[in-house]
Amino acid sequence: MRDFNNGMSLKKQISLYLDNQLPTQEAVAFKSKVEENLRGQKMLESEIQFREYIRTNVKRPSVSQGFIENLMTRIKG
Amino acid sequence: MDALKTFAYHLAYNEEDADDLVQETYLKAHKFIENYDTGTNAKAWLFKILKNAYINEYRKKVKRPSKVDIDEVISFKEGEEPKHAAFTDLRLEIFDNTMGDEVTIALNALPLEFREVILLCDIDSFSYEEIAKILELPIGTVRSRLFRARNMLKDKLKQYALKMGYKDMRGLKHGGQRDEEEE
Repeated sequence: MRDFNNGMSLKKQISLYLDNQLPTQEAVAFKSKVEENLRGQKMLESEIQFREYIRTNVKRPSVSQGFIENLMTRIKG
Repeated sequence: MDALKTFAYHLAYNEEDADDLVQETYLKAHKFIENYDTGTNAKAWLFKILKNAYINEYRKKVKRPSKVDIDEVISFKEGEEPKHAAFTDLRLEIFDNTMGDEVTIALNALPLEFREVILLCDIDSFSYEEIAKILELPIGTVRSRLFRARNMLKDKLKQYALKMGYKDMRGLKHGGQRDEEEE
């Protein structure tokens, strides 16, 4: 789907919109156009869900207390 | 510190090397603290140190060398997407029903150049400008690489979902005929 804006694909515009990369006025206009378009709405919701899914399911190992203490010792030393 | 370790873990593929990278990052930051511009993003500065440390000392150790299809990257311009891009909009139900470490596995299967932009943008919420500074890339490259990386990640997750028995029912008309794919 094209021609939502300057011939750029809807997928790319959604990506830029969600990344806050569209200028304010352009973002407002884009949001308004998407809300009027069922396929656009679905694609936007899908992209939001995808990003949330990645954010919440990626492995995030944490550092141990021992690691921090060892690091502090090395820095102080 | 945990955010740095997550970034390091997905660069190095294991926790031991990730811990080494985080430690090295903090030691270098402490040693070269005078290079830090007060008032700028300290987190981004640490991520940049970590990325450089990874490039300098750890990349040689990676068992799976990261390669990028240069022709594909070069051909990726505004408005030009790979043919498989139309297949990468997964249905939410596929995402909702996949379990386990598939996100980590899929993410770690991406070439470094694409993996790092996903990590910095979608996991650590850096702006394009910050990512450009951390990776020393033009913003346009960050933008196009990120777009492509997300499509690659969706593709890998879709492959996983299909392998697990989930079917992609997009675009099916009554009678099982598929609508023509559109972007």
